Amino acid sequence: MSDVTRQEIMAVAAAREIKDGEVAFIGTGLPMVAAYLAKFTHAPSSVLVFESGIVDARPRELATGVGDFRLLHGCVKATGLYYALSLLQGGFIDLGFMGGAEVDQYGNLNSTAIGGYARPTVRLPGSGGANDIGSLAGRIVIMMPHEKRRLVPQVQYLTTPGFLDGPGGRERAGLRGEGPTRVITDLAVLDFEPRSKRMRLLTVHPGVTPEEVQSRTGFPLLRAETVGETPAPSPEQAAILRQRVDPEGLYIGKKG
Amino acid sequence: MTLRDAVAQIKDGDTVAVGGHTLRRHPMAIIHEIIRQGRRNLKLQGWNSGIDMDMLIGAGCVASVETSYIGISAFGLAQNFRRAAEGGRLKVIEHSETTGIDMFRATAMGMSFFPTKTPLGSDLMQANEHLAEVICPFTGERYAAVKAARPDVAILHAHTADQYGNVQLDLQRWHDNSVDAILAKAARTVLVTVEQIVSDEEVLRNALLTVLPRKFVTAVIEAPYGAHPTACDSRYDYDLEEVGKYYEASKSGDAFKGYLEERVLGPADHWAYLDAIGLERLMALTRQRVVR
Amino acid sequence: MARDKICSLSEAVASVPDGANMTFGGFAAYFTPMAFVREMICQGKRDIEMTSVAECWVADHLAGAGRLRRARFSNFMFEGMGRCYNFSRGVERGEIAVEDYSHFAITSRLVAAALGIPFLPIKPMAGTDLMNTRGFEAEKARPFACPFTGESVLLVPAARPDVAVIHAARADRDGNAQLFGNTCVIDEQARAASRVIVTVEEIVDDGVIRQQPELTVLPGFLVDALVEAPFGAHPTGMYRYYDPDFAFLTDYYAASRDETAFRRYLDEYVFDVADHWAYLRKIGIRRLMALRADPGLGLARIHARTLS
Repeated sequence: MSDVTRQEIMAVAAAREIKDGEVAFIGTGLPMVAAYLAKFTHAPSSVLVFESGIVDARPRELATGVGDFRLLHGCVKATGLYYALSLLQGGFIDLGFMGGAEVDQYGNLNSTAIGGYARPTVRLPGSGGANDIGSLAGRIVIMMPHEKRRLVPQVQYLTTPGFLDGPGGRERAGLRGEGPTRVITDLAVLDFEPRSKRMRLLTVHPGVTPEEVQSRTGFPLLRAETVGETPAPSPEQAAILRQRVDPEGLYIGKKG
Repeated sequence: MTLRDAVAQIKDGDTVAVGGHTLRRHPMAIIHEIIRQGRRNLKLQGWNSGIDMDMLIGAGCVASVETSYIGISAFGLAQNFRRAAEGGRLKVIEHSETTGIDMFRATAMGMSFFPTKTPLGSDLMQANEHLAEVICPFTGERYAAVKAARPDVAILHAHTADQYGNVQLDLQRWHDNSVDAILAKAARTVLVTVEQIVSDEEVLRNALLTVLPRKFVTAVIEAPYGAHPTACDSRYDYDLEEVGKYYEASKSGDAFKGYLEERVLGPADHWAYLDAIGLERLMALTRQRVVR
Repeated sequence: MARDKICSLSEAVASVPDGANMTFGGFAAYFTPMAFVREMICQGKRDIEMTSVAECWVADHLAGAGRLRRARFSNFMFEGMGRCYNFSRGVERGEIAVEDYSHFAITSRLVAAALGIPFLPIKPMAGTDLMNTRGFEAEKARPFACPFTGESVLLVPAARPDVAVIHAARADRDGNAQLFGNTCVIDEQARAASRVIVTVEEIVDDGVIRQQPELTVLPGFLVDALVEAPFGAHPTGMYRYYDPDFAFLTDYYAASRDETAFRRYLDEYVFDVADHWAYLRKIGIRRLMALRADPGLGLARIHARTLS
């Protein structure tokens, strides 16, 4: 198979996280690509929920926003934002996807501000549904580019909870759900060591070494006993990605 | 295909059947383009006509008309038609509304004539060379036979079509509008403008509304407000202000030239025509934005 | 009386005082009352306070025109493109004060007001800087132990904006307003705000509304002023009417990254147009018609592939 892109590897790894029949909160970009791929393959009965109030979208066309009309057409329920988000607090959401400008070793995310809050160097978009998802979904999958300035020892502003200050942090804050279970980057797939709650390297993508991953991380990464290789997309998965899900290559970096 | 390309298929001297009736859904965008392209000696056919035929006559495009009525409804008589007919520059073939429809019905059904009783005993039998008296072979009754019309081109404005040319009309006033399909089936080349080219899904959702399957259609062109200033059923009303302006201008040849210059020859295409009318006016005429 | 509700866009905007606490309907690139916002800028409205979930197009326009004083909000981002540069610059320069919430938290504040209760208990924001780092808000959220179970929650106070401005699909002359598709936060915004202004694509007969009452989001008794504004959400979209004008959004985003380019945008599309019709004239009928939703899909065919 010709030139698999890192984004395709990420999409396939993320799709793997969606189990059939689960209810998942989806954002735009690679998470949406992953969700569509999951629905077209091993998780056809999974239910995709969007914060704008769209429930159980039937993906036919890649959308560029969470309120996109392409999600509305063919969905099961069109309602309001409060309904969609209260599904989180009501415990109905199994899985949520997350991104951000910064992530720390406990999976906390920053999408609010760099360089201070009141007079930041860079004012970022803000939480949106991220904090809600991070606080309440059954589990979280984080997706982002792997860069030292992004994977930081401590986020400058804690928008979205991972494990907060470490073991017991979520419980002390009264949050629900398991917290983040996977971090998927363009270099590796990582998880969180169960006792320390610290980010841990699981697999590296083809052509990547654990050393390279660490060199692009701003804090010491734990490593799984055996660091495997992230599975590349199967020919079937690549075909679906390139021909059905994202033929323009907007997110997977490759035209179909 | 653009409107320009579609109209280019109409040749000087062609017999052209014009859809619409009673100031409703006349294919005005197509007619404007015919005038822009300077067609001559057209033989127009219809069954209830008005500003559509009158404008073409006033623009010097027409050799003959075959229809039951050409008038501007509540405003008054069709002045370009009057001047041309009274000046001996226009051949007029007189019908009633029913015989005007029957001439197309015959062709659409693959027959050379259609039997009717309507014009019997009227001067139409003498005036119209396409009407003849026949005797029923079973009962011996007298009938008028309406000669099948064989237009080269039919021009219509409809509501929707898919990209393949399956043309649909809205459910509202559907039966009123069904004559356009008969007219189209009589013609060799069929050019249809539609308010909107819609998805396959939409056409399939309302398959019963397909009046012209694509085998009957040569070209479909999207032209929103393509019937303006005539009405388009539940979508938009007559633009009475514009029809009134037309009527006033058509009172004299010179004034009419000015109208043509401003409204037809000046604007480069249908979009420029609409921009000159203005979205505010079009929205004021629009009755229904979402048609399902 | 029904007639009294209907007014012009300029009258509706004129009724909003400088410094008003405003909440706007819509979400990201969808059914945002942009005609109203442009008219606000033209009329010189200033020192606006926003109570917002994700009305990024409003925030960035007001910020870019120097009219936004402060915002309590969850997320301002141009999906598929990037952050809101006018808004970001304003915050980075200390010209715009901010208070961050999660979607659910800020919406819950509006829900509390809509329900006529002083606060609502929620779970999110706990343990994070959304709770622990304060902006301008005097009262944002308080930790609380449930009196029945002892479970920890946060209490968020009711938020009552002065004015809600909502763009809907259609309404009858009494202001009974309907929307196709998802409704985002307008249901709550209309009940939380002291005054509600609704702009609609079309004013229809009440029979149309009453034939499909399940589509009604805002009963007329909630609506104080009603304005007919076709294409009033442009360049954002309106489900079943027209898609977002993605080309326009992209051009806007590019212009917003540079202040001089943005000034040119404001001049061309806001200050130099006399009214909403003049703005639409500038866009042109051809472009607007191309954005029209397909009746079967609810979105424009140009953005949809045919059945596969």
